[in-house]
Amino acid sequence: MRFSGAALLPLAAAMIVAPAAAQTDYYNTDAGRPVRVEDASVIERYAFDLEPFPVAMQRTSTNVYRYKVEPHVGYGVLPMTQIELGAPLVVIDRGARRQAALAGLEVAAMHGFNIESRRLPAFAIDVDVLAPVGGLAPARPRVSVKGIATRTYRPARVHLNAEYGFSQGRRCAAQNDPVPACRLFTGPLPPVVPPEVDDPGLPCLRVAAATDAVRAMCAGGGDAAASVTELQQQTSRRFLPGYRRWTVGLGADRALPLRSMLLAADVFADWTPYGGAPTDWTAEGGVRYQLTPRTVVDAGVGSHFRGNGKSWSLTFGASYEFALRPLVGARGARR
Amino acid sequence: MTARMRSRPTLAPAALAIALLTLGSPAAAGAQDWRGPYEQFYLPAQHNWAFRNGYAAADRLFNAFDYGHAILYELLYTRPDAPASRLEGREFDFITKRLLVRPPRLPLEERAIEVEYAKLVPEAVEMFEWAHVLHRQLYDVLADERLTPARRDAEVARLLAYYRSRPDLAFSAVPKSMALMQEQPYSLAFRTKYPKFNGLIWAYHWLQVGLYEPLVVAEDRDAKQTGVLAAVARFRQMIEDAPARMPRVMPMTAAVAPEFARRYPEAAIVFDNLHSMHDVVSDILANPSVPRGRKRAEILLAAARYRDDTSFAMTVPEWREMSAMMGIENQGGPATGFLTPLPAGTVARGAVMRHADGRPDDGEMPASAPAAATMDSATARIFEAQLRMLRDPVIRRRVASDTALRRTIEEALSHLPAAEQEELRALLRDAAAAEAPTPKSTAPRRQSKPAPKPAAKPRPADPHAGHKP
Repeated sequence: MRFSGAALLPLAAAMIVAPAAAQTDYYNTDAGRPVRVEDASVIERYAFDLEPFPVAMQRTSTNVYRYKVEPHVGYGVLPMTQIELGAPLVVIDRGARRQAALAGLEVAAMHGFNIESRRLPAFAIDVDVLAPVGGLAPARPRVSVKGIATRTYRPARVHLNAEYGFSQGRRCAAQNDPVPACRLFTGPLPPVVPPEVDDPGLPCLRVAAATDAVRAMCAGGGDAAASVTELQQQTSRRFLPGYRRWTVGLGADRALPLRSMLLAADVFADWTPYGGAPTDWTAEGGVRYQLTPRTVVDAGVGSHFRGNGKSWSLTFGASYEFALRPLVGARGARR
Repeated sequence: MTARMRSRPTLAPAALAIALLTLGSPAAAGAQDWRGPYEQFYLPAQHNWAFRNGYAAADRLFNAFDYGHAILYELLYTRPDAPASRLEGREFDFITKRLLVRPPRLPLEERAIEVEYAKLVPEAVEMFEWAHVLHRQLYDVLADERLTPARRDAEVARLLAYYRSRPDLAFSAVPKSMALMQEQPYSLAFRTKYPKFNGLIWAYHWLQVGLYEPLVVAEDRDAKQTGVLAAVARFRQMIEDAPARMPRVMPMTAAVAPEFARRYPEAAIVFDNLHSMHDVVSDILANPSVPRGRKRAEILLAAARYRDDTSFAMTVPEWREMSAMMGIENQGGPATGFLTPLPAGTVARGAVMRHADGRPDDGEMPASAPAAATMDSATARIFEAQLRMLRDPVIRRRVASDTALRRTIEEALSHLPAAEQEELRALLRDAAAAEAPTPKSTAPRRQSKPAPKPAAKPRPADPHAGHKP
């Protein structure tokens, strides 16, 4: 596996995150930290959870490297409710070509409905909006809604996540449309295909404008002929379909409480309602470790082992939890 | 397909989600019965983690205490039929022989230990957690040397206000009668069946409140360090030979940490209520007369009584009186003032050890100097009398002429402090010089006698004397 040195800089920076000085944040997992399937617990009220340089590195079977650094901060704004703000920076390295740009601006809110009890698992909902900001951002605002359930058993906790992501479609202008993906209808492929076009739900869209080789690769195991025909009809109308994607995942983690460590694993499936695209399967494993009362580090490894292309991924991150007294004092400390 | 994609109401799920968020908020829901309590961050301040940074050994013990409480509740709830030896033997040994010897370096996630108990009564779990946060933050305030006494009092008041800002979690600051803990249908079950573990829990509580006392009464950081370590050592003494040395009744803050309780009575009462409810939960879980299906209801009823200001209430003077009447000796003893003072030094600072290597006596500290440190006052007076006598020139001459007496005195010198040794040696030298015949210049020079051998030095005390092999 090959990784560029520049991409490792944030990794190093994450390791020297704020000094040691809540306490059990390792038990509250976030999506991608270290595995995508997360638990239903939210950030404590008044707490900030800062993840300055969470890094994800992915290598596809076609030797494309994708690095993602997504600094973000979460805040426990209300009881059992958190908001998050993030700005993913993506680097796509195709060997000869490399592009780095912001891949959107992410605003999210998560709400826990209940604390786990004997009868009910803990339930939570997460709503995430990725705004079209940056050179590698989606063409339209992309919304994801995720339901989360967590049940704790003596050997382990089990989490079920079900997510639906979508964005509106777009009719492209006949010429000079500002959205890069629309150029598929009017000219050659752009030098680097935006991520949205790379999404497994859309590759066949470019079939109409691509070569036979690309078309064959893109069609994969689906009904290529039907897809191509249908998409060619769309192409004639210059309609860029919206993003549609389902993700369902099952995860489990086991805490080692005396060591303040969490071992986590998951498997999840992604699919799109568009015809012809196979379901993608990914499995991940990782660890979260409470380094200090306020600092957690995590690391994970994943394998996209079945579906539209295969890849390996590594993640590493650190989070730092704190609070700001002026925000706390308004309700509590001044009584 | 195109039509399907176009007509899909793409923002509908988002709108639904927002609606759910709104409906699910506590303000909208009104009640939290099915939702459970939410977690809240500790009060941010410059004193955060001061106790952890300054008193690591004591701080880590609290992490181990978290485990003790958690595993206790989990086993009482999930293994009601297990023999008492499960807690009194296996778990007790693990905690006292391993966990308390090498405590975890970080606070524990108790929900990962008390899995089923946490699902049974998350409200009680969060009440305990919220009070433990107050515990730790008060240690921080009292351990932070940057705070003036006035600032310290202000910060304590602020912490208590922050604590009270969660009435769904905060223990009442009104003292509760012991009837709430000891006269309920389920009471006393835990202490009867598990005397060792119960004693361990009380020893925990003794230290948790006892540590405040040295932090409050000590005048500087060094004294605080000594006081905290002494309290920790006293805690360890308690768990030796369990349960013989453990507290015999629940330690009350007003008795164990009287100055802390005088200065911060609200906090002291909260902690007594907290520790009392710990015992109540143990009794409910341990008592088979409470059906399994009733345990949650009984714990929640007790929790409500410990939160309100009316149930089983007593006055603060009554609370103080009760704490005293229970007998401090039954509660583990006071948390300060039990260290014996260091023995007073009897040699000059920096005195040099003189080994028994045959070198001439040069006035340095003899090897048996430690004995001087234990010289009692009667012996000291005898030496004082000898000193006064030797200051008399007539007596000095007589001593100088009596070699046996002189040797005896020289041997006894080693038991004196260095300053006195020096004075006596000077006097003896004067006496010897006065006794020596004045050499005549015309007389043939006598061959000088070899110098008398120095007096046999006493053997150094065996440093291992009294040690068991």
